[in-house]
Amino acid sequence: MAVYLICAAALQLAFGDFPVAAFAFPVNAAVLFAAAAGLWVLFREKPSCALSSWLISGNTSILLLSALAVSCLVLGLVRQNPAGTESSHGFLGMRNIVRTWWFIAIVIALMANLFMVIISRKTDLRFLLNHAGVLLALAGGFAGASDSSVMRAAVYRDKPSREAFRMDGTPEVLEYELSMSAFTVEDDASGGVRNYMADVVVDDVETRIRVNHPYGRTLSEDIYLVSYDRSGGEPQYCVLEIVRQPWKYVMWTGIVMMMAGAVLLFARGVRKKEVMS
Amino acid sequence: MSWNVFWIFALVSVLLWLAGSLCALYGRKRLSEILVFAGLLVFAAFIAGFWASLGRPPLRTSGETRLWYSFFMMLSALLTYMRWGYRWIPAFSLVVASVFICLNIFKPEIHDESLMPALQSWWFVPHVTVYMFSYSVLGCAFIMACAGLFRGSDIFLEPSDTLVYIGTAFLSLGMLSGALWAKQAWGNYWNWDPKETWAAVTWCIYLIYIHLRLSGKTGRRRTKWLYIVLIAGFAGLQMCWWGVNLLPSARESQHVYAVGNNVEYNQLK
Repeated sequence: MAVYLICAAALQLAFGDFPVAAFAFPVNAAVLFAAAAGLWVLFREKPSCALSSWLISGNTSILLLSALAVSCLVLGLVRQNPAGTESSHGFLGMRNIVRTWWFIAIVIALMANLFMVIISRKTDLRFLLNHAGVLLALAGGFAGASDSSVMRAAVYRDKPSREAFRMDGTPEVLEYELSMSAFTVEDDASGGVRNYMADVVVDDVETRIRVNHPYGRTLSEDIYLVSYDRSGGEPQYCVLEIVRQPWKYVMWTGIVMMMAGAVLLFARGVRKKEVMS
Repeated sequence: MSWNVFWIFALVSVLLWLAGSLCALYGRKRLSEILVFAGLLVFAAFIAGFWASLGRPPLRTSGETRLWYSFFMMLSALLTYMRWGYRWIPAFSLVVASVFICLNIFKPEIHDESLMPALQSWWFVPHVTVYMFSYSVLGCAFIMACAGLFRGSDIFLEPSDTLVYIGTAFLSLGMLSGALWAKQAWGNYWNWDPKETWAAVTWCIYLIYIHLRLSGKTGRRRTKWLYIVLIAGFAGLQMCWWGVNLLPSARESQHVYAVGNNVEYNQLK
């Protein structure tokens, strides 16, 4: 484990942040498939070898959870650079931890550990839901990060536009037009804003987008209403956020499985016979 | 029902809980349970009336979440006492609940009627109440751990296990419902926001405890470490709940809501 993390830290020092963009589809899917197949073969052919034993061990789970907890602790204490910042991320990437080699190495090891314990144990539904749920959520989140993008567009009243900007300020040209036809703000009794919504035209389709209620343009793309013209009078523009996240269904499946697992954790409680290898 | 009358309801509840705690200490179990339950009813009556007067669930501000925490703390204590019969658990829980009640009386924080658009969601009520319930159950586990560490005994591990399983189940549901809500509101299930990061730290600590217990190893040193893990978990909960707002990184948190020119820290979880 120590050697593994030292190698990851050395890669961080040598190459800087993990090259997330290099793992865009289909590379990420191929790597996941190859890793799963490799671990399956390892478990079937050499179940007693040192690597198999280590990956299946419950102590490894504890060690990796501890490593993840410590990493998150550092992440919680050290101020992180905003997304898209090009300036230095500090020693060992401490100011952009989720993109460092060593952090991703911990997550990869945890995913391998989860995969091996799932295939190696005769287990019940609760175990499966909790462990496979975490595995899917992690796989969807980390492998899917390469295919995800977030852009924002200021959409003006009756002025169709294709211009949007990534979070680091890079301009993008959308493959469809956006324009706003009307904007509604609802106030509450104390005069504060309770709700707001925009009537927009997205790719020649008229729709109403409300705050907290995204519009699903495609299966992998959602459009959010995040802000609007607050200069006074009738709002002349709104700000839309375009989120492309094709792996969201993998994450959603993992999250729902974990929720079902949590319900069973509560309902079934502690079982004394449940002892790890 | 106005916030101004909170102290009356709180005083009646605390007196009933105090009487119930004393009865528990003197072995009057049935009477103790009735008194603690009566205190809970009085406290619940205030929450219900306050909810109706606000026109929204009282779950938005620090003060409002403390209200729920005090309520759930005593509810968890009552259930723990009914299940295992530890005489001291109502008294210890009362001390914790009273700290948060006193904070609400002497340092009340914003209790306005508005609920900003970001919080106008179906997820709002289940997400926050589930979190507050888990915090209180894990608060009881923390008291068990302190007692176990103080007495140098492993007899508190078994009740701690049950409390941790219940607390972790609800903690997971709170965190995961938050992830689904975040996707609906902000476009991402997980943003590594400071509050989310501390939630992950806390979750990992309780998972470590569960896995350490599952390993089946025993011994004086192991027992001590298990209690320490529970105490660290409780510290993580406090960081996640209100401590994170004291960190510089909280300025960038999506879970801190700014109102007008005066930055007011309103806790969501």
